[in-house]
Amino acid sequence: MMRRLGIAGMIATLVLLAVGPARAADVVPGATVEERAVNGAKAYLKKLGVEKLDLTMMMVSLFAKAQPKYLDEWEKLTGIRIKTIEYGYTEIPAKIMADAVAKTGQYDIYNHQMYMLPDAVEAGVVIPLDDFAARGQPYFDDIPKTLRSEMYYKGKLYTFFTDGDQTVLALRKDLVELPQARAAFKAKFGREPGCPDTWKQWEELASFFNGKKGQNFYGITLEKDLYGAQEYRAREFGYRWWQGRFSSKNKLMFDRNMKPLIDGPEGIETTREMVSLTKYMPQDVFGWGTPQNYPFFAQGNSFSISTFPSIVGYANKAQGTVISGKILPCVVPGSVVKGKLVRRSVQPAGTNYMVSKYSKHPEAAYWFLQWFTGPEMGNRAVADPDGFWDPFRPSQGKDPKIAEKYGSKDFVTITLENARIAVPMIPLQGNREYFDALDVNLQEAFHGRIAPEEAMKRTARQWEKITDDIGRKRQIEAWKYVVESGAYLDAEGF
Amino acid sequence: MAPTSTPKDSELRVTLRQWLERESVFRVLPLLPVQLLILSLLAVPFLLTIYISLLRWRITRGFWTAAPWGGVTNFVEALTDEDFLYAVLRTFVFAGFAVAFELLIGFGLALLTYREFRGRRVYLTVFLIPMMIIPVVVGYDFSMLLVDTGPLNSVLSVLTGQDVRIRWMSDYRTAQVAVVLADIWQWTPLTFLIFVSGLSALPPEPIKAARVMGATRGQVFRHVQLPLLKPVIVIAVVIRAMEALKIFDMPMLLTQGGPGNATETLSIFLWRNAWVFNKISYAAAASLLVLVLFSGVIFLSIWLLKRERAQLEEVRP
Amino acid sequence: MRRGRVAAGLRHAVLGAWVLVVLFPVFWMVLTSFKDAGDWVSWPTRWAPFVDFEPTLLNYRQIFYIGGTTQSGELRREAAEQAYVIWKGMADSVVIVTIASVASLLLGSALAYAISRFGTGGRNYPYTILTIRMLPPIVVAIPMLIYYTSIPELFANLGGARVEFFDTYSGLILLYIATTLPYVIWMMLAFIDEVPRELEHAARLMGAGRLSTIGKVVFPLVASGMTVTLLFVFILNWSEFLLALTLSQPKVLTLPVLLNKFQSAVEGRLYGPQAAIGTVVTIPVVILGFLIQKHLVKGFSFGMIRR
Repeated sequence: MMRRLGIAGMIATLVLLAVGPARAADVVPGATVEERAVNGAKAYLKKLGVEKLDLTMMMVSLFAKAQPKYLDEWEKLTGIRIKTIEYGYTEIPAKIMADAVAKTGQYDIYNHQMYMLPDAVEAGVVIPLDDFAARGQPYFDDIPKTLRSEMYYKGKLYTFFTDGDQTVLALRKDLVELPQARAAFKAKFGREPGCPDTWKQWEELASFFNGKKGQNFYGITLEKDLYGAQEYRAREFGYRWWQGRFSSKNKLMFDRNMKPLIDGPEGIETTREMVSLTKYMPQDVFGWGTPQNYPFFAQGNSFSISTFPSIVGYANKAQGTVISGKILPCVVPGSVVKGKLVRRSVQPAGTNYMVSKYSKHPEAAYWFLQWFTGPEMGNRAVADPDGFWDPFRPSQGKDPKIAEKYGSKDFVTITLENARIAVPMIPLQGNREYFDALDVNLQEAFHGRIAPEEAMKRTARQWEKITDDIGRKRQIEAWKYVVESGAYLDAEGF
Repeated sequence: MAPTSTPKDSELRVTLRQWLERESVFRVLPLLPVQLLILSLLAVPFLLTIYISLLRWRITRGFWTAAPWGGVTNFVEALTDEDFLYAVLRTFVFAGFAVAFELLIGFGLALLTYREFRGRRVYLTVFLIPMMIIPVVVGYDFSMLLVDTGPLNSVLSVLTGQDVRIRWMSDYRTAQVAVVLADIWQWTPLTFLIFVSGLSALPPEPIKAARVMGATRGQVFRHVQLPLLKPVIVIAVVIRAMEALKIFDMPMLLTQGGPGNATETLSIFLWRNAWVFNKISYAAAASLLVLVLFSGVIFLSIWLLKRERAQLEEVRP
Repeated sequence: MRRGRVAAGLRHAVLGAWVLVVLFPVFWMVLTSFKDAGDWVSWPTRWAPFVDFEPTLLNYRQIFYIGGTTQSGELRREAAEQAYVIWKGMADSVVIVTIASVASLLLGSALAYAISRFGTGGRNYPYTILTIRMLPPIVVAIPMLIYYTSIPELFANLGGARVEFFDTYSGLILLYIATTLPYVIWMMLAFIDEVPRELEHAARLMGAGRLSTIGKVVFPLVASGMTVTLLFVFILNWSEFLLALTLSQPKVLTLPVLLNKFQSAVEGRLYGPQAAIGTVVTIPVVILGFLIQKHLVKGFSFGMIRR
């Protein structure tokens, strides 16, 4: 028996030895990630025997201004021309799903937000990139575990991370530094005003730093009404911020059997906090998306805002801003759990490039993905003032051009710290159904129509139904991968 | 030799015309292209929709040919789904208000403009404009107008002397009003046009006859003009009601069905289930229920309206 | 005479009020298209150009990407592409909608005549055909997608040529005809029903054939009705979004689909550029309205003069 194994083993080893080096030799030559991508693309074209190739990318219309120059550069380097067809980001999910049904093969690359990945994979319309990555050797080890987990679904690689939308809290530096205000605040709360550690502290800041037009505010006269806080409360937005706050209670949203944990005390507390903070916001906030929230803050109407990181660049440089240079970016606050401060941000959007299953040249599409999201190119994209890609790689903290784009060096350090603690939104199939249930109930709570407890109870009930409808076993399996990948750091409840 | 060819051609032409003149041909020929088009283009997708509604298909569960059988499960689920039932209720309320106002205003405007007078052309041109603007554009426009710090509140403030800050798009009640108002603005031109067309096509004899017999203007209107207008009124109601029940663009653009679910009409509900949640089978089942419901309502109203007309015709000699 | 004056004055007052209601949103849109970001939603509202705010062409430049409006300078490739896309959207829409609407009108009117005079299709035909319009198109879009993308295979198997339907002009045109026929039939049926058969009988007795009877007797009387129907169908097709979104792009691009892209541009609404697009797209429509209105008036008076 042993002898037979021995001989079999020897043969196996010999085979492996023969095949092994050959496998390693599959790695595309090139010193950097980008170089390998270019070489890989060129080799592919050579294999096909052509000099040029046309690909099509379904792209979010947001990037219509910024993307083309990179596509031109790629074409010059490799001969692969990528044509873009733009859609608004509200239509792209539908179009991707339509492609899953129609299988037209029209698109090689889909571009959307990160949360789209699970549905796209389950619909069978995108392919895993592990094999290509083994040859191309992209580098993502330096980005936080939380963000890196979003590139995978059920253990396989599908996309690369290229846009750190992790939320940030921005305060008005000029107000926080008013000497009289500082003294009064310290007298009232026992500490100096500044970046808060906890959500409660943020609310305390909001309760203090507000006033009416014409009022004498600790030495200055307010030119207009000053609101204490701003945060998204509108449909399609509110639920994203909720997830970050909830995660700061260090609890998972589902347990290992996909039972929702959001209707427990942590979930109720989160909702209560958000409802409570609303009283310091302009009541119009219920209908505001980014184009309303951003100018409102930039025109000096409120003291603080919790939103996408691009607010800092906007408030510093946009037309009509009156608070340029007066912004204090903060690491997102957290909650005290078992004596420890747990800060959590959330990654509410992000940018995602996936390769279509019906593409005729998936390998060519892959090489573009690797090239564009590589450390060098990725940094250039983030530094691009026309684009909406935001920092997420540690190396981007040292890039002066990136600091220049946002008008603030501290900001880049802060947002990178937020990246480290940014949890993804539920990365499961059917996530938009879960989001919608949460969103609608949160809206009811925000408007004061139902109590937070009731809102969370209803949401949990609906979530159970959704899980059952999708298939509990599948969700349990997928959720296991998510939790074990470290996406939610050390949150409890599994 | 030339004369021989011409008689043959004209013979052919005559035969074609004669053939067309035959009643049996005349009555069937127009039907053919229409039926062909409808059957080949619409019948298959419709049958497919029915089939899909009997499955339990989600796009994320593979191709529809591999989806499990569901039977009536989807239908039962829809009928017990609160969101669906509320959407039905909401849609009927919206459509009801919107169509009622569009009929009244359209009719009123038509009464004032169907006869020739100075400046009529200007009014006609202007009144047509709203319905010819693409709904997406109307959507942007109204979302600009209805902003809390927008011109509508501004005008209302001037008119009432107070600082009006109605949150049109983020308050449950006012959002619903906003959707109805936007629909009225956009589609009154249609009812207006239909009524103008109908009023101006009324034969003058019965009216003259009634006036000669001493009827007042009001009586002429009620007992002569209105009954004659019945078919036109039916058209206006049917067409507007059918489109209003399917309203999608405006609430979608203004509030995305929000705040909460306040402006989620049936079309938005179906869109959300089909395109956002990928629950195609469920959406198909729900939409078939909707089809049955709409058909029932529309046909009932037509029957009621036509019945009145028939009764009237029996009275007149 | 005095009463006439007062009545006329009242009429103008009422009509004038509605004119204000109609034009107010249009006016606001045009105004916003010339405003800079800070003025879009300011309170108190900025009404008058040059008095309350500085008008600017920034928004128009942005939607046509002329000259570039960002720090990064000119972007030649997109400037041309952007302008091309807008014109293509308009051209595609005009072609598709015009052909579909006219064809639908002709086919539907012919059938409506047959139904009115001969009861073609049976008593319930108009009702069954109306049900087509009662199904919300959203859900049918996916089965249509499946069907349209598999048509080439079906035809190829039947030995015919490869007939492409998805993302083609003819595909969308035929679909628009099919979906508007119910309305054409219904509306024309009502208008044709109003024409007394005696008139036609009289003409036939005097020796006229069917076709010339229709041409000389029926047609003039329903002309205004036909114009209204055509206008309605045109508008329905012009604004049709869902089916076009699902079944076309990128070769075929209609205006509603194109405009929707701009709407979702920055997670919501950039009022200025959207107002600019809205204005650009509305101007031809207003011109069209003016032209049509003249014909509508002619149609009405034609009908009345005949009587």
